[in-house]
Amino acid sequence: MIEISHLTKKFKNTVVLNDISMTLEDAKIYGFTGRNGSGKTMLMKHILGFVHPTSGMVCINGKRIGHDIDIPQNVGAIIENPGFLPEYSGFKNLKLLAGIRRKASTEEIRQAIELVGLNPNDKKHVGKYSLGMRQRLGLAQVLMENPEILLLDEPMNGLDDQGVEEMRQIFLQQKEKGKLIIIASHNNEDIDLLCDDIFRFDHGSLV
Amino acid sequence: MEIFRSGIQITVINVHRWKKDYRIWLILSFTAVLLINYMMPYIEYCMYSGNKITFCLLPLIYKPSEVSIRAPKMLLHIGFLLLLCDAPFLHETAPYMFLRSGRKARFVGEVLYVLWTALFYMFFITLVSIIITLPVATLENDWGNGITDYLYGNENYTAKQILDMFPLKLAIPAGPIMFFYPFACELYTFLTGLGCMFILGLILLLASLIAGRAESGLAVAGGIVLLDPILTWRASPNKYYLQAFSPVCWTSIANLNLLSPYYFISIPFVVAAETVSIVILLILIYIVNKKSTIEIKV
Repeated sequence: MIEISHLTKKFKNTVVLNDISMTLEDAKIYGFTGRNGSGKTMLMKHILGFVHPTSGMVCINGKRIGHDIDIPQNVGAIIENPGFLPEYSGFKNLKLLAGIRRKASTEEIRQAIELVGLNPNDKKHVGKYSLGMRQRLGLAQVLMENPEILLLDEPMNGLDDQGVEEMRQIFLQQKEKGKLIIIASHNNEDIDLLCDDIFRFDHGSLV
Repeated sequence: MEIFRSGIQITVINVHRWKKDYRIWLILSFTAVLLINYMMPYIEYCMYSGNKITFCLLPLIYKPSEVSIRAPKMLLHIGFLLLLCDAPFLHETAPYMFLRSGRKARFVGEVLYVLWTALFYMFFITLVSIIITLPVATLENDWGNGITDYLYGNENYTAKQILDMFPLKLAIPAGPIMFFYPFACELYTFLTGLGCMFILGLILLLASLIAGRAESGLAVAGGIVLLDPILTWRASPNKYYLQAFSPVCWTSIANLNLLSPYYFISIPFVVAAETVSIVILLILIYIVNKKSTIEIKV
């Protein structure tokens, strides 16, 4: 569960998030919508612990970010554009990342890559991937360690219709497993089809 | 222990980025060319005269230089700073790394990466300086006539004549050659050079973390490097304590007070100053890292 309480963020005199409060429960998919610069990604960065609020707090499973824990464990995320080491294969990239926490075995990495429709044996460097392939690999890195919370910023970017449908099914399966999923998207169809609750942002405030 | 292991993996990932980072290979190439250029007169003289020289050339390369362009020591340190000019290492893979590691392991990983870079670069400089001398090197703990002839001359030529025939690009540090053994000088220069680079790297990282941009770190650390020739110039004849203000000054064995009672820098001072500097910088980086925003610059 994620609890956000009166969260405000200011950069100098500019308010980018204004008194945001919400409670997000497990086994649900939440949608964040709004124009560019409305605060969706900034809120996600607060949940991840990448940015500290000016006031207010974010608690994940009762633990306050920036106080009890600095960066929440058991969260998988795609934030902005997924970036990988371009001169290595997709599998090698995920293997390097998995080596940090050592939670995902080689087999689990391979399964995550297959789940998103890529080939784990493909030796092609990520630098030669299309945008859609990078997006799929970004999703694989989210799923490979079986996190409890998934934060997905524009997860359908660059995907074709089939890819979008495949990703929707994956998100619904993850929800069935009890995961808490947050999707930020401009695509109203994705939001309407997938999300149990929708939060609309405008100039840093919840509408 | 888990934090340390995660930190090491962050260092490994950062080092993996070197594979296609042409900036790294360019800097190493220029460093090699610089070293060969400055040390070649000794080699040419040895090949002409049949003399030998020690392979311990670091003390000659790290000779203190006053304000001028003839300062390989300064250029080497600037080369090191350029290796770290992407600090605070917020590349496109960084969010996925820090999500898994947390801020403490990120701190460990980035500090170890700076240390690794300093170690690698120091080893590279040492190795190139050894390879240059291979055709004419002696394994004995002796500077060799190829170097001492430049100070004392020999039965055929005076020192000035040798200097006219094979002019040096950098003046010879007479003090260490007259009073110290080359192995000891090499060890001192390597260890203090490593410590100095580590300190400069930590300063660069700290400034970049505070300002959120690499240019700030480069400016601060670069300023400390440029301070070395200025302080060396101003230190003579009775202000040698000024050399305490730049770690780059501490790397020249010719600045040690073993050579002159007027000099300020001593081995205990260097050990203490480098240790204290590193500890303070680590504490500051830890604190700033805890509070900093992780903002990816692509």
